[in-house]
Amino acid sequence: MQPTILPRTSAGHIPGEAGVWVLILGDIFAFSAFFAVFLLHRAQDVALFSASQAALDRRFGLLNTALLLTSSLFVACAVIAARAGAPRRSAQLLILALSCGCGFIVSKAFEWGAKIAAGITLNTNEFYSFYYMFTGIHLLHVLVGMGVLIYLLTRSRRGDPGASYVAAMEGGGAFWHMVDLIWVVLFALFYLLR
Amino acid sequence: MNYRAQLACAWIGLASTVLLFVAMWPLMHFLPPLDPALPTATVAAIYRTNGTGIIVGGLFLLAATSALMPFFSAVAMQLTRMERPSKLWTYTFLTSAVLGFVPLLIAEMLFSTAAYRPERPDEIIQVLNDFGFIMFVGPALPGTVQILASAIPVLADRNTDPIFPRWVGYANIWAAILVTPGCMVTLFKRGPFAWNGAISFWVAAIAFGIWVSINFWATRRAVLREMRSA
Repeated sequence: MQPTILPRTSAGHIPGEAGVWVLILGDIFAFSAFFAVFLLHRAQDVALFSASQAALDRRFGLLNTALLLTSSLFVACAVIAARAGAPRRSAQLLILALSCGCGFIVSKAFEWGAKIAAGITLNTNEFYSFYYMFTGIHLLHVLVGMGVLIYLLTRSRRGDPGASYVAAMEGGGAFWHMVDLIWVVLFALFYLLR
Repeated sequence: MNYRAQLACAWIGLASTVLLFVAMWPLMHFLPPLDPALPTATVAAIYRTNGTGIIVGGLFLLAATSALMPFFSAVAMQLTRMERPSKLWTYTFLTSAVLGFVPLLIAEMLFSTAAYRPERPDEIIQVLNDFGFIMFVGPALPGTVQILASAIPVLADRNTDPIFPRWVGYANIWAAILVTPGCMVTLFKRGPFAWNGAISFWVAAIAFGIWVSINFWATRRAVLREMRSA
């Protein structure tokens, strides 16, 4: 019997544009290198890293994870709405996603503030150098990502969002998901790793 | 148009990046950079034993950074073609290039000053060494601005046949992000964010190398295409 060859239903679709994936994958690659550096340093002094990790407040980590995952969901829904030709709905969803992003920044400020008030700063030990620097670099990505979301919001509100609107939504959305993904790994490494 | 001169300037950029490496590695022995946590006496001993290497390597460093300027101008020529008639990002690109590379010349002179009178007390040699490396790695932010200024026009290019492929714009944003952590070196004496660190030095140096290579390729390609259509 001849195997049935199914015709390809789709020619393959790259969300956004091909180029934006150079940035997204490049950034993921760079963060992977950062995490490898962290794990190498951790392996040299597991006791210190574990003891310092125990002093982190996991509730903040969990809250931040929930905020970013929720915002990612809103962004994904906004992209679906944009594809369906409902930019007004996209705009509403983007505002919700941006609110979650603001919540993330506020929660980060409280978390860092509590640590600094407790006398734990950048050079307290190696673990905290990593903690402040990596979460700081990630926070910078959150700010850049929120800038992208604000751009998408203004475009969604325009009467005519333009021909490249859906691609821009997909590309910007993919960047936001990457920021989320990196946080999930940071959360696992800094708060949960045993 | 002076296409051949532009091509030559593009090649000079690639050559000076190699020259930068030759200066740092076999001559100055600064690859990897000296550990900021080294004892004062050890730092002084390094300048006393490899004084000539550091001074000659410094001259190579001077030559390499100077020769990067024609390369930046060749890239800037393409940036203006993208953003015509405005020159906003071209100006930002060129002025930040100067702001970012002047500290490298000063760093070179600080290293040479340390090696110039090896009979000086250890502490003074260490101060010059600290100042040199902080000058060398620390002023990363003009570099971030410069590289970002090479990304924005690529993504905003409205030519029907874009001058640089769009992915180059995204790759440039990526490089701009990765050269940034160098600005934190004064906060650390050890670890990945110190001036010899995996992230502030190596990641930044590799990202800069990749940025030069990609933009060399894109500039050369754009000049050749312009030449053919002229």
